[in-house]
Amino acid sequence: MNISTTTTGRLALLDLESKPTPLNATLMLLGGIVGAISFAIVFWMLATEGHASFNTSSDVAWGAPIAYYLFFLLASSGLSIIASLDTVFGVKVFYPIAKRCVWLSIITLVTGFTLLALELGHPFRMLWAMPTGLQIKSPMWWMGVLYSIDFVLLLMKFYRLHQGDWESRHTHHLSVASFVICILAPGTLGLVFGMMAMRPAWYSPVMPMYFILTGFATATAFMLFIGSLAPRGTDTSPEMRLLNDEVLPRLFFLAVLAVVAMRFGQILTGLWSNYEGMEANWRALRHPLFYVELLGYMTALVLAAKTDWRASPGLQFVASVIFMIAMFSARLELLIVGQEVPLFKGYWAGYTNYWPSFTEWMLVPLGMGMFLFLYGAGDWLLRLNEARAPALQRR
Amino acid sequence: MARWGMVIDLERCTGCQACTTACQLENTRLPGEHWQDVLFYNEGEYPSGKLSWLPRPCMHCENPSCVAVCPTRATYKTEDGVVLVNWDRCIGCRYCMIACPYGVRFYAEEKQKTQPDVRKVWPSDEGKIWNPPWAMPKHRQDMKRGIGVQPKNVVSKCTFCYHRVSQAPKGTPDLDPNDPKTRDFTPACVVTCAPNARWFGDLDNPNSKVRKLIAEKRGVRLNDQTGNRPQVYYLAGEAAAIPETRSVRRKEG
Amino acid sequence: MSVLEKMDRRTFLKTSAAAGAAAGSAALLAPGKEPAAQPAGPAPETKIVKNVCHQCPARCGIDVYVTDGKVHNIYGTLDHPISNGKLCPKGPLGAYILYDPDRIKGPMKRTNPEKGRDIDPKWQPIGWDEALGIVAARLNALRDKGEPHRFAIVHGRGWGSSDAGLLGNFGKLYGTPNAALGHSSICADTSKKAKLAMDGNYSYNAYDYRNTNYILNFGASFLEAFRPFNNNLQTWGYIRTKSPKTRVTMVDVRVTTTGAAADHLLLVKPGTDAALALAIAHEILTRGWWDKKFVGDFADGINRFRRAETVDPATFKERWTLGLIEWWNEVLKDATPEWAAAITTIPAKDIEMVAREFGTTRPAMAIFERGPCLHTNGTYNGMAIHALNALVGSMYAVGGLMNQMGVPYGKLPGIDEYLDDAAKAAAAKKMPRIDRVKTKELPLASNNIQGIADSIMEGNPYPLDTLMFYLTNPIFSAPNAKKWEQALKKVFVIETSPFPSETSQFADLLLPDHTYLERLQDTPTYPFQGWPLTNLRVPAVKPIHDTKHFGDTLIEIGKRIKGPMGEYYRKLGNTENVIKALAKGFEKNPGDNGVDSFEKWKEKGFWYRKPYPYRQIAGEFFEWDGVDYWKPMPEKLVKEKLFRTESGRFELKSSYLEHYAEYISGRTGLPKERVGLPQYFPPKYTGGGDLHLIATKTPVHGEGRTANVPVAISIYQPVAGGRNELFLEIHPETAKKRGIKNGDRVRIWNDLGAIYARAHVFPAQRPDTVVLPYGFGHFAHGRWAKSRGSGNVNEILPNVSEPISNAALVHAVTVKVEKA
Repeated sequence: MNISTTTTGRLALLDLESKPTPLNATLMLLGGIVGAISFAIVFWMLATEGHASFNTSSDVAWGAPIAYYLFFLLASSGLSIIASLDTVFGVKVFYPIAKRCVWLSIITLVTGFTLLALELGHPFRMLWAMPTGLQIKSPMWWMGVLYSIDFVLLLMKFYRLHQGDWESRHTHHLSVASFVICILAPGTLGLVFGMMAMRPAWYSPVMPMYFILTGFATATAFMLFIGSLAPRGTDTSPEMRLLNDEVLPRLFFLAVLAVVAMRFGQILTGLWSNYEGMEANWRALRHPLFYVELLGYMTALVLAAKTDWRASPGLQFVASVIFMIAMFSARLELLIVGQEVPLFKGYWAGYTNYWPSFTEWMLVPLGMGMFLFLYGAGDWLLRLNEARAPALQRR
Repeated sequence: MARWGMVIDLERCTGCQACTTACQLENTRLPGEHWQDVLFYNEGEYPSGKLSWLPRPCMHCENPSCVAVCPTRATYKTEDGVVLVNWDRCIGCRYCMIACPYGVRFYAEEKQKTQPDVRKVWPSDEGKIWNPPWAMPKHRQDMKRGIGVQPKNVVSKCTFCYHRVSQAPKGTPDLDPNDPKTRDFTPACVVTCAPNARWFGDLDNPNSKVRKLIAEKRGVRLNDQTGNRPQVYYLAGEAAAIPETRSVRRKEG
Repeated sequence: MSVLEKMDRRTFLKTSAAAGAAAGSAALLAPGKEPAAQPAGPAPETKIVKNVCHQCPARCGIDVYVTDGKVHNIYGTLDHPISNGKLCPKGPLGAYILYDPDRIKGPMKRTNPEKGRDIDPKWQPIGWDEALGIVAARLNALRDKGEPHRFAIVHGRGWGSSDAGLLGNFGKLYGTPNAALGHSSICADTSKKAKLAMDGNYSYNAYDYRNTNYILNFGASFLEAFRPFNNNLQTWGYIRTKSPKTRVTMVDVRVTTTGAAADHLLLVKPGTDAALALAIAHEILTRGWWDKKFVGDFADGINRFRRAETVDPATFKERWTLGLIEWWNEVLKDATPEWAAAITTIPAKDIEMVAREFGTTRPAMAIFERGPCLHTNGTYNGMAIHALNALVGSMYAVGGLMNQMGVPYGKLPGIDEYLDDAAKAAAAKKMPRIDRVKTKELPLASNNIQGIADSIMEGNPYPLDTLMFYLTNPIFSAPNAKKWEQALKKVFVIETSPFPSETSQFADLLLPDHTYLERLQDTPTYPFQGWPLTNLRVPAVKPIHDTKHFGDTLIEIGKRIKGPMGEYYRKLGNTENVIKALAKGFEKNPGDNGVDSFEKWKEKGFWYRKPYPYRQIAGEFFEWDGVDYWKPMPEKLVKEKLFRTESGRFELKSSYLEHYAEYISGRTGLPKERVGLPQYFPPKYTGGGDLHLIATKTPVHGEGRTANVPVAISIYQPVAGGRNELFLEIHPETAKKRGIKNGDRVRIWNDLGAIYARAHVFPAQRPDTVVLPYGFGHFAHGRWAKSRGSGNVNEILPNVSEPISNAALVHAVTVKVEKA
């Protein structure tokens, strides 16, 4: 494999002449089939039953799709941050993956919003009602605004990079703006939960930080996962090897460690507190998802703790997948236990019980399929392994 | 402009749920979509078990957190102090349901707890959630105020029977259901409440009955620590109590 | 002409679209402003029709709101004396009942001769003429054979003279003693019997709650089911906040909202209420708290009622009671709080406290109904409680008890000239009723609906041929309900309910009634405040299906009977004529609201005449003289109008019961000389289980008419039921011993069989008692009624009746409970 040095001017947007690699083909085929089937099922259920095919209710208003949405959107911001490590801060070790990260950031964002659209009552009405509503007191409004800007900036940035413009002031400003937004956007998403004083289990000024951090950790897992799929040995550059064998695994390890530390603090605070509603944390302790989360973090930590382990593509694959599953569970758990303590629902209601329905679960393969398809297609058609041309020389 | 509010005397309230069924019919609610619910609590055991209950409409807060979080301003507060939903703007994101400390908002696009599903028995051909024969007459329905049968995929909530209340002559201090002159403008739950446990009137008018009751019988608001400042006050009396907990810790056999 | 009227539809739509857009842009420019009003077309007229609620016997006047021919709202009528503009939770359910999609849409006949729970009757819709013809043919044939007694009509709670009130004459003209077999024996006959035994009135009481200061309530669910429910709720709001506040003590076997809202809740062991009431009487007497003006006093004023000591009758001068000293010497002197505590499980100090409160507060009343009465010692439980009303002098006093008066209706055409030879021959034969009431077997009973299945099965006293039902569904609601399934296979069954039911599943012919919002029907009040009151149901909408008012069905059948009977009914015409004839009575007696004709009655919805004319003041009786209660009543008049006992007094030693001493002694094992005294003897529980099963009625239970209403189903709540699903309430210890956890499905069984429900562990409940709401487990009903997860308690309720009144003992049953 060769790192292209695209100094030759503007190229066509899509590289339709190149042939998909077997990996690309596999990802697209797998993602396409899984995505299409699950979309067909979800679409059918929504068309016939509407949201009654979800297990959400007036007691648990937000269902699993919101958790999936969180998972993808926060990962998107994390990926954008990793891209910015090169494009904004000039941490050159990341340059070979900067463009790939931007693409990943775009497609996780698209996937996340697709899942959200299937959860909303009137997704298309949102397009005019939010801009005209101008409810600046609503963190969700800001979330919408910031993620829209984020999306546009990511597209512009990707276009610039795709055009080979890595160096201009314009690109730099774009990158800085994109970085600022990809901190603000997940932060605002954190506020969507963290500002809710009436839901004490979510109420926390640290929620934005938690979202940014966990998003970043998820992004490192994504990159580790993708790196583990890439070929190793003589056909890769030393930069790529350095990144895949040392830098990314180490970053992953540190990120997971930070997540664990933060989560530990969170749950301890929750368990200690007598405050009404905080018993959600005890509820969490009895929830299987909590143990998936816990075990996942711990396994990932152990696998990434030893230098030679974390350099192994096989173990990287395992560790990143396990961590992603754990993080996915954490999102679902946060959503569920935060709502299972009822608000004035009375004695008979007790704790509300929520578990995603079949249709809600089908959104998971839908999202995964969509993501894999878009990634495979991007890797095939968009020259994701491109990097800044003079990088090698400048290093 | 009036600022409408309600007072509920828990000493008079018998927990009969007449408010619930009156609201259901007046507003064409689905079974289980209890805008005006009555919640039951118990504590202790034989022979000294305590049972208490709490009727719970929308609090129509002074500082409604649902209005603040609504990204499209579908939820808004009227000049006369009522919190409404504009069904033409609602995107069904349910953030208001998350943000309401009192759990009084509903998204009826859910598995119907009473089966078979009534929405399939009386389907609407106009994009409404259902169309039963007893539906509120069309001329009283108002999508921009969340009154009547809602379209599909939107959030619904108690309107203080705005279609009745908003017709009251300006400057009326009390909407008394026992006075033929004001009865038709009084919310359904207040009209029907057999023990006369509810009063409805203008909280900004120092001469209103609701203001007098709040002063004399020391009305309290639920969960006041949220800062939402409900416009529904409770009188706890001597034989009733505001439930001390919203969540549940109890021994189970 | 208004602008809107001139617009055609297209311009109207355009205008609305423009207004909508304007609203949208207004929101865009000034997001804080509320949207403009939606343009509306000319408002159609809303009509308010007077009717009377059907969900319980209370007779609440209702305003039915009709727009464009659709009922969309129901509220209480503001000036109606019972509803006062208010409603209970059941009131608004009428709209759902009217539009119930499972209603029977017209007359139908069975074409599948085989009957059973799961066997399709293969209904064939027929016209009314054919349907009525089928009935008439059967009835004429029976009559021709000289066997008219083999036709019977069983009815539930009829409403007035235009429906069940027509049955008596129908029976006489046709020649059957079975034309009006009532359901009261599965209701509360025992409490009436207890009152008959003591004050001579075989009826429920009217109460002056608003003026009382103490209510000692034995098992009447004042805030859940006790009629008139809606008015009770209104009363509660008033008496609990008036000055002075009315104190309430609730004696019950389970936790209810009434008990929780009361000042004291005493959870008594089922069937032991008499012991508690006797101990309270003992305290009242020993401490000298009795009403001396009403009861009388010791000649020298010195109280000789001392624990365990007899009193010389000569020392006491009784005023309006009879037999106090005998009662004391035989029963009360040993009925100490400690004695009662051992029986009732209520601590003696609590009994003393309640006795003190009740005995020292005036006015005070002791009320009761089915709760304590539906046990093997039920009449005596009721008497012991009712005796307290005499001791505190509350009979006919302010804040006390009264009797309900009738309505001065006009007369219907007489039947004497229409009785033909067949009718006269039948009357001469003096055939016993099919339910065997007033035979040697049941000399004191007024009804025995729960025995009819046995009568049919055994052909005793004779084989029945045709059985018609009106407003009752004993195959579901009578004890040992399953036996009815066998019985109804043996007779030709005619069902008149507007809804599918268990009876219709076994019926041969369906003659569906209107629902109440479609009926013209008179409904005189149930016992309320004593003064006469009657109401009119005016149809709010035209019948939406091909149904017929039961009164008209009966008249139409009558028209088709050969001979003068047919002539009589042709002359009578229809129920509207009946009601017009009734309204004639108002010409001479106009109501307080000016109702003096049929038309005015229809407009106002009710006729009433206040006040109640009798009052006891400090041991003297007075009559209303137009201004106040100033006209003294001689003892003879008191006996004629109020205490209709042999002695003309409130009998603490009942002469009525003593007349049947032999029979009662045989049934109860009491010594003959003691049968007249209020006393306690241990109840015998039925079923052979180890836990009492209390089947309750909940506030949204509309007596068989709301089982198929989704809105009603969705609000079932504690303490009886719980949102969409019914629960068996069980104490945690009781559950634990049986390995039952909260939410487990449990089997509830006894000698008769088993039903299933989900357990709800409820720590406030008595450990020896489980509670399951009644009214569920329908196997044949509308789509929602059938989809409930709980069984019908009547399937495991043994058919055992109270020995004196013959009321079915619904509270005496015991069961075993285990994890299913």
